[in-house]
Amino acid sequence: MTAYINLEEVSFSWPRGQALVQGLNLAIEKHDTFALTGANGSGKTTLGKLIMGILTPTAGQVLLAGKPITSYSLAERGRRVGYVFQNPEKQLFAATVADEIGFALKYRGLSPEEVQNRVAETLALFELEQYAQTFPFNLSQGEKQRLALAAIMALGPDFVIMDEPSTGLDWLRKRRLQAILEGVRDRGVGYIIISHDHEFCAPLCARTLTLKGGKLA
Amino acid sequence: MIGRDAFPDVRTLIILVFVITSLAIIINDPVWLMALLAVCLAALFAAQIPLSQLGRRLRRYRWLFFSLVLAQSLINRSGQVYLEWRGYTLLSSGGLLAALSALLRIAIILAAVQLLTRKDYQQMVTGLVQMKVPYELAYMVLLAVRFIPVLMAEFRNSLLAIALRGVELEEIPLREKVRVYSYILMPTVAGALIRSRRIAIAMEARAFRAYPQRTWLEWPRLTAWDWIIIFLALGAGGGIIWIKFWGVMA
Repeated sequence: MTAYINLEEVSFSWPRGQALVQGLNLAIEKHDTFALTGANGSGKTTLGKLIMGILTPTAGQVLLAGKPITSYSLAERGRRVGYVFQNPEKQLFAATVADEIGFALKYRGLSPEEVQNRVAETLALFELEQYAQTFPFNLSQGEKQRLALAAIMALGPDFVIMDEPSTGLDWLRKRRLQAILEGVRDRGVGYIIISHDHEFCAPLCARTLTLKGGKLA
Repeated sequence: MIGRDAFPDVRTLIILVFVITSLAIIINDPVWLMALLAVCLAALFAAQIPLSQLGRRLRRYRWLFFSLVLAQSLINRSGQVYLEWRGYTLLSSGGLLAALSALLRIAIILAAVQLLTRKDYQQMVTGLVQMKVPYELAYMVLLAVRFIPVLMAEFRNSLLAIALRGVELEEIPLREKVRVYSYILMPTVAGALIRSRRIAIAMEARAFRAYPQRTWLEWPRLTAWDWIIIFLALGAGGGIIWIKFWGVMA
């Protein structure tokens, strides 16, 4: 039986660039919790984008639920796998925090009451209630991180990929984010945390994968 | 002091681009436009700029070409009629030629502007200042131009973020789609304003315009080849315009 996400002999290199990922095989189940580490420029973010199908492998293939990831539209992938960018500003676009969380819910056929309830639940879960009507760009780095994750989690994905979620957070905010991710894990949602921060990942992830020379060490 | 990558000088490229784009606007004859495009492609080849870049950009205009063929055939009924429906001309040789001219004009302008990519941002500023454009103006204009791809990348990021949240933009009704686009335009513009404010502060902090004099690390001189190209471009451009107004060319 195939895993939820399968990487089969996946390789990737930029045109005229060195191979960032070479012949990589990886099977990921829905409830798996991984930390993906490696030196700067080792290809961690690239691997995350390959899994999500944002980048196309130069060789090999990525399967999502047994089908090539390219057979799904970007939106279909997004419904199954959430992706939190390294820079949360890249994925925030709404006028208020509440709009940001409710944006995609409006296009899922939910009634306005259901959308409002889901937004309220998510705001509470991610401790963002007091910022509901704030312009997302005016939040602090840690709040933006939480909001980016909240906007994804409100959609109920099967799996989440988070790129450097603890970057720029102080100890207290890291601890808050850890508590939130523990809740995500307890609800049976798996994730990959792409990070240098071993201390942050250790209590949250069952396995640590290290990318070195394009391969998993 | 002669700078790196001295030939061709920025001024030569600017003059070349000015002459080529002016001719592309003035000329209507597709044969002459094709010749002008050939000159442009030769210049790109000589400047070692990959022609594939131009091909990719032109692909975006293919629908424009078909729309122009239809629009020009409906308006301009000259020449042979190839396709007609209930008395309306849908395809005519006149329409085809007019659309071809428009497409060639776009190709020439895109190709000519690509020549400027040979030079980096600092070289462009220096070149403009050497052409007596005030430094502050040259610097600000190029800073703004440099931000266009950044803004476009941010807009694309927002579209990607929307798609990754499971929203199929293609399936949204047009009215709603317009609302979504205006929705994501706002943070892009707000982000640009915030960034420009930060740059202004950073520049002031580095004493931008604090002193009347400025040290130029590079002050390129025109080589003999630059002069030859400038004279050839201006001469050929002037000659073609003269022929055009003497009625030899369409």
